[in-house]
Amino acid sequence: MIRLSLVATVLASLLSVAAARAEDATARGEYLARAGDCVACHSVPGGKAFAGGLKMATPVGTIATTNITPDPETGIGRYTLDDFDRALRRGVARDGHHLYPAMPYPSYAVMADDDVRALYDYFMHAVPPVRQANLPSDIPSHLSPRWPLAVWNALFAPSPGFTPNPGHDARWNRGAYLVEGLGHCGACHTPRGWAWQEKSFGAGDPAFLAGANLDDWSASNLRRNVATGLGTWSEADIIAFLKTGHNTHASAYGSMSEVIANSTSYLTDDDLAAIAAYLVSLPATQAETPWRYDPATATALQSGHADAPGARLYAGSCQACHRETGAAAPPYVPPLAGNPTVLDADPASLINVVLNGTAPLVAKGRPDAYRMPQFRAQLTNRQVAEIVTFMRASWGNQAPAVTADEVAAIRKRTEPSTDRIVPLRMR
Amino acid sequence: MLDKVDVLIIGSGASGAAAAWSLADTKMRILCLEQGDWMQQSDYPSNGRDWEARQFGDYATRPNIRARPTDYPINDDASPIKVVNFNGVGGSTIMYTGHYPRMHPSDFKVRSLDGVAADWPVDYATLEPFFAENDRMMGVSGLAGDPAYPPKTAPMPPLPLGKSGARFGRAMNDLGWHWWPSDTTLATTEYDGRAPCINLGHCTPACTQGAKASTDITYWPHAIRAGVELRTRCRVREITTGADGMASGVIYYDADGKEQFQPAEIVILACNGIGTPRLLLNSASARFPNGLANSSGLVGKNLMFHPYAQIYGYVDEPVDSNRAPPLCLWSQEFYETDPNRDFVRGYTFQFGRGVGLVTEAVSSAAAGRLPWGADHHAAFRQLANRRIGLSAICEDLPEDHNRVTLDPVLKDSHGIPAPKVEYTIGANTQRMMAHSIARAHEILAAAGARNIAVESPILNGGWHLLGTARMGRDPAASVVNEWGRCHDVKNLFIIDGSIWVTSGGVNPTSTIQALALYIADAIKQRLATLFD
Repeated sequence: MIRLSLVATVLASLLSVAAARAEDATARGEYLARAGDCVACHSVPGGKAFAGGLKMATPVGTIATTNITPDPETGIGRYTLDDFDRALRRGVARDGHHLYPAMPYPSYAVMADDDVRALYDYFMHAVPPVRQANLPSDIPSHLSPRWPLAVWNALFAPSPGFTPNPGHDARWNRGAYLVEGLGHCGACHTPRGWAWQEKSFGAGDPAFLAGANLDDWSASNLRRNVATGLGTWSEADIIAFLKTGHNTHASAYGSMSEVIANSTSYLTDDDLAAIAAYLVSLPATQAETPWRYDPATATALQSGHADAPGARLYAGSCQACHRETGAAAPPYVPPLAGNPTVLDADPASLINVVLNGTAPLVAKGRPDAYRMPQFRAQLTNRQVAEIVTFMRASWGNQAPAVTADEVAAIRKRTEPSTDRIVPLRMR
Repeated sequence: MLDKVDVLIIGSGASGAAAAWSLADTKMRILCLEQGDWMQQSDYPSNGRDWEARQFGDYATRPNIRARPTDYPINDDASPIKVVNFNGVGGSTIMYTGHYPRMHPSDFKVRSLDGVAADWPVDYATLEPFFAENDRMMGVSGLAGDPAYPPKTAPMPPLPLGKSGARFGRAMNDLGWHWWPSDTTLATTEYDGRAPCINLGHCTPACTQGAKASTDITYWPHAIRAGVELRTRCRVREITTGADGMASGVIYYDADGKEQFQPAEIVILACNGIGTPRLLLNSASARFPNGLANSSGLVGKNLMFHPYAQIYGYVDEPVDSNRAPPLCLWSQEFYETDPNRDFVRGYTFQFGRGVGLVTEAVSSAAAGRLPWGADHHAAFRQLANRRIGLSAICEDLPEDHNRVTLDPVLKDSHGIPAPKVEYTIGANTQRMMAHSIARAHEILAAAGARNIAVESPILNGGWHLLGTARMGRDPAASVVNEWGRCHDVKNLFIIDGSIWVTSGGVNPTSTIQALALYIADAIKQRLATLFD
């Protein structure tokens, strides 16, 4: 009897060790799914996680993201590890059809084998299955054959695997692995070429993360450009931004808000430090005049002499939070003085934020305090152009003026009542 | 019938939250009923560009103007000072300025010192540890060493004085009068999950940043984690009593408007100096025909407001006057009784910054400082961002004719009789206000201000609701005893500003909460013999 209970105890402890290991593996897979931000595209607001159904516009038509829960009928429940791997790193589904490259498999290609396995374990064993049929795509029939994607892949998709750069330390290489791979930062921040391909997938190319316009948002340059990029950001600044969506230079907006809410705020300090170490190593794409604060605007606003075009509108609509100095109250309210988004040659994000405001920044489930309110109802195109031009020419900022036509175009395309599908949901 | 609870607290504001948190130590089953909702910080006016406009709407300080479904009407026609409050989790701490002076030791002994009103049955020394505990829980910023007080320290450094505060400081130095950086509940560093103040200046209509302590973000998270239940949208109609004359529970209307009976072993009232007498008067029965716990006849009597005299002017340079919290320093030069003056007791000066641009335009247009026509903008430039001001919080003495009764006609949305306020400013207080206005003119002159304007008393200034169920040892001259228990009903406690014997000359929240913690502690000390 004693022996028997002893056996039972040993068995139980062995079982619990095995269970703990399985739990470790799915926990690692969950972490990787966070790092890859799979949920951002494979869910719809208010829907079940990973059940797909998000419509995305591409240059050839609208596609819908798929159900990646382990439901055997409608999801990936019948996928073997090899099937999963082929979809993830090569963009080929279980039935052999090529995925559209809205799925960032060209980035995921760098993932390591055991990370793919951990991700697979998580999706198969920890994600609850959801029975939800995939939506059809509406790509016109003459463009719908999938075989050209194989050609596209041959031309543009990098071959799988990650080769560490021996010229850098382990931390940098970890950062490269995350940024170029799971993080798929380039999907938004790298300019795209004639076939909508990202121009580059790695640190060696100056186009990588050089900033890009995607559907009326200008995803910032993440290189060391001193005015329009992250050239003045320290590694600690980058870490704070990815963790909370805020730092003393800027705050996140647009779909970066979702990246922070679903992905980067959950990354470990070590991984964030690795990403920062990697980003600060990317040289500037061009020499820029560094931003220097000029107090003239603040002096004029403070003395009530706001005669520059847009100054009075700024005083009435913006100044209460962003201040006469344009310095605002970072990290809670972002400065306009020296902010890379304000200095960006492409004013799309600035216009878009003024028209449409920002969403709450949620870090690990905790929302921040202040929203940028929307002004599309209060300000005309001309007024927005004047305000934005004023911001871009004040406090030492030197960026080109903005026209009312540019504002009108973005206003039209971001009309909230439209049923137009937005590429990569970047609205 | 609902399950019986050990402790039922009515009201989740300054005092209710503090007592709930303190009593949670006992592991008793504690329930708080709140007639308002949990607040959404992202909905606060400070999160939008229309924050000034909303002070005339859903964030008006007066419940009669705000008229949210969670508010109840108050007939204050017969008062030159209108009642202001807020109803929601956190109560009026949602919409206060966070100015946080304590009462002075002398305030508890006015009969002995000045021959007026009555002494309190507690003193400053008794409350001192509860003041300190409350400062820690609410998160107080301040500077140690104020000569107006016994030694005390604050857990956070004081607010910056800013241009207007520094200007006032210099003026007071020139005059040789006391001033000190204010104690406030505005966080100046990260504190207990709250972010520090970023000086947007939109404090009074609630703080999106969470820098301003309101009990929904200070006491309540701790109390709820400790097991206290908080039920919102529950408006209590009356406290019921049993055959033994003890409180048996309350009848309330739940979120769906359904009548509920909630039995309880102990009932604690934390509904402020108007809500508490209203509820006691609405709880009249055959056994308590004049209202519950009212054998003294003092329930609703001796209402004290602190009439405010406000004086402001304009300086010749921008002073960031609508930046940062409205109050950053105080003076208690004229706080204690001086036999050379024609009044007893005294007042605190609280030094204000300016107002928002819309408020400046509206108030200046109304006051005739801002003419229409060609010079309109030039005139506005000389006003905007240049206002500095101060107000005197004048001690109100308890007077029988200042009272809260039930309005014979007016009812709230549940048909519960609404309170009626009758109030006139006493002669001693009027002389005090005149004195404060004269001193304020001297201060503003020393600070270089011109175009002086006076608003006295401030119309929408009935923040401090005190004295309507006063504490004392004599059951004939007080409603509750020296530790908050009603003389008439031995399981009924009152912990809000109603129990104040006199009003002092300071914003009362700090002292209200210290008293609530003191009473909760008295309950904990006496659990075995609580009803003896």
